[in-house]
Amino acid sequence: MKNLLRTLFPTTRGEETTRRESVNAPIINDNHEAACFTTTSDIHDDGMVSIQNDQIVVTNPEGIGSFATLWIPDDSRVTISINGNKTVGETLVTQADTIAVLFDGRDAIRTFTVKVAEDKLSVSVKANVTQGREIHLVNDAPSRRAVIALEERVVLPTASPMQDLFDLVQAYGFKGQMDHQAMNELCRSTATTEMVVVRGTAPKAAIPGSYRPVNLVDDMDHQLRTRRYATVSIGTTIAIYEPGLSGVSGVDVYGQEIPAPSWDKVQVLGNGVVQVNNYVVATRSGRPVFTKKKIDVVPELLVNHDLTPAYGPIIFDGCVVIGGSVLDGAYVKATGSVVVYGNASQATMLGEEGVYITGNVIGSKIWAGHSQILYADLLGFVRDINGSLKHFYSEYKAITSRASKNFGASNKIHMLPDLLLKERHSSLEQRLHTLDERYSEYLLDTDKEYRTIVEVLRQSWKGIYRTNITHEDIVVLMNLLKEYQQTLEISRTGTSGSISVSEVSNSTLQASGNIIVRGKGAFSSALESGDTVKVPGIVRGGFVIAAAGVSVGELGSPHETETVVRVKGEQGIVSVKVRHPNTVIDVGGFRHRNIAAEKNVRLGEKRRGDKISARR
Amino acid sequence: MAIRLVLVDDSLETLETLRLQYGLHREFQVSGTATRSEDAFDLVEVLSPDIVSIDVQLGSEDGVALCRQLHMKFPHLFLVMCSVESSEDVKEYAERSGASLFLQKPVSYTDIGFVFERYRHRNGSNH
Repeated sequence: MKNLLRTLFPTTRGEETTRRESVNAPIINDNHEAACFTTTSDIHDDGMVSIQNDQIVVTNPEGIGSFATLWIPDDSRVTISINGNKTVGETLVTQADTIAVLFDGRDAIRTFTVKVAEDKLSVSVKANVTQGREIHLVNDAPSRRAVIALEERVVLPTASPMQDLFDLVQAYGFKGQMDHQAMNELCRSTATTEMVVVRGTAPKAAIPGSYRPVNLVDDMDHQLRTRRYATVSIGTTIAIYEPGLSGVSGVDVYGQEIPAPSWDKVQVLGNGVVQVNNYVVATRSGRPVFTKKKIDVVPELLVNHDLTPAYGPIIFDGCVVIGGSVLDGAYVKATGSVVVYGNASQATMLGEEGVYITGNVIGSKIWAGHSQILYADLLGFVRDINGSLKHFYSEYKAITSRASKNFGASNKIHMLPDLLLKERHSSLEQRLHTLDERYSEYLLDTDKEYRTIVEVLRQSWKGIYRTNITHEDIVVLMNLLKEYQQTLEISRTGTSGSISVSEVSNSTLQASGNIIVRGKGAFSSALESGDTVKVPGIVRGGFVIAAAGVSVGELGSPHETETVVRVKGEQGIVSVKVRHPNTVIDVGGFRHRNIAAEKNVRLGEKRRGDKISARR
Repeated sequence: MAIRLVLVDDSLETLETLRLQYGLHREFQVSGTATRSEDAFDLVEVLSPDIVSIDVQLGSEDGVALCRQLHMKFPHLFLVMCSVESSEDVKEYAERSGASLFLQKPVSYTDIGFVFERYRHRNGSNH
């Protein structure tokens, strides 16, 4: 039976929501509680509505009792339709009404994604869990007016079949150890979880063998404040080799082998030692060198007095220690380091592994790591020669091929190389000459390959021998130079030598490593370093050139002495505490010349546009 | 036979340093040094060097002008202009005035080697 009370407001077209109000209904306050009311009619039983187990049960009143009402919230989680019409708000309900309740619940979802680690040693599966929800009506006892209230319950996913996950992993073709427990946990996960389910076998790196020093006694150099080992005699065991362990290769999750990483031998044995079984033995007397990279015994020549030219030039395969000054034209060249406990005046010193002078340097030429410096220069030169020689040889072959067919000319083929050099390849001729002239002094007695090339040049390519250069001579020279170029390319990274002096004036200091002038400073000198130049004191006049950086206390003079500093590397830095006018600083090609004094200058750190900024 | 050089620069310190740098190369022999154009001219006349190295900014004098004068009078001379400035204008100006080579200060060991190469290339293998 339809409700006798009709809506006072018409239903909006398209909406199925019907809003009804009751006439003579009690006044409903904000809490949806009915205000007290009285009826003049006889007392009869009112209609009732109750909510139980998501069901809405309505009973009609008896006689002239009031019908039950239902208050329905406007909530997207539930749609309550009465007789097919979605209803919201206060509404009259009768026993005959068809009340449908539709909940907007959500199923719990679990999905799996597979991920392979970068190193391919494991496969992990991520269980992506989205919790579901169930909506229910809150139970309400029978009453004349019921208010629909909702309760929401979280729904967790049920366990996924393990076989599904197993099949997923198998479909990728992974090989390795399956972690069934992890898979089980993933299938039962109630929150998003990631776990490794397949594991490969990681390779085991080899443990390299190492040398342990024995019989080495510490010896302190109090002047230079360095620690070193005391000298040993030939035959002394200085180290024991402790073998390592070979590596074990692994297998990735695709079944591919992963080779075990190997380690390069860290320590190289020098010319002064030999390994006999597991013992490293000195093959000459000298001072042990035991570093992370090298084990050697380096002979040491000790000159316990001032060195003058009267002593003769010192050219020594090892380290040279001068317990005095090096004076007036004296010459020292060492394959190791040169240490001078005094000054150097008008001297020439070359220390492949470094030059350390406790005193001052005046009018001298000091080289450290000279081979590296020379090789850098020589490499470009040898490349040019090889290019020119190739052209020379092509032309030689072309001409001799034609000449050999001519009876008269074939007798003079031996003169052809000389003519070609003079007339058509004079630059090659000059370069071959320079190769001998320029580098002989420094390399002839230390570089075997260079020495061989120079001997060939002197025997076959110079003077009267030039008129008898044969095809074989040309090929021999080409092969020697080609191999030498490869050697130079490999040997460019050798040990760098540093220079450390107190004060320097009117001298050149050339180092493949650092240059440090500890004392007053450098005056009218040329300092050229393959790394960094550090002068806490003054640099006045002359040039300072470094590959990486320059640090100077005071640059130039108040009298505007021209002083030029250059750092070749674009990332280089020049720092100067006091910079006098008329000094030039060049960092990676960007030049800066000042006309006023500056303090705390640091150039090369930042660049704005094309200019280098200087902080003052 | 060594290649003989005269060095011209208004800075005594730079002259000394250049002398040291050239002295590292056996091919060269520094025959004389001068700080003024007039002295440089006299030296060249007397010593007949193979190479003259001239500072572009010769104090208040113009090193390029000296280069031009030397080139006109001694066209066989190999003239090396040295400068702290390295703009293209300065280089072109020097070349037009007869300079055979332009070196930017500071002059390194490798730069001196380059001088030798260029000198030999221009003059052949008489040395």
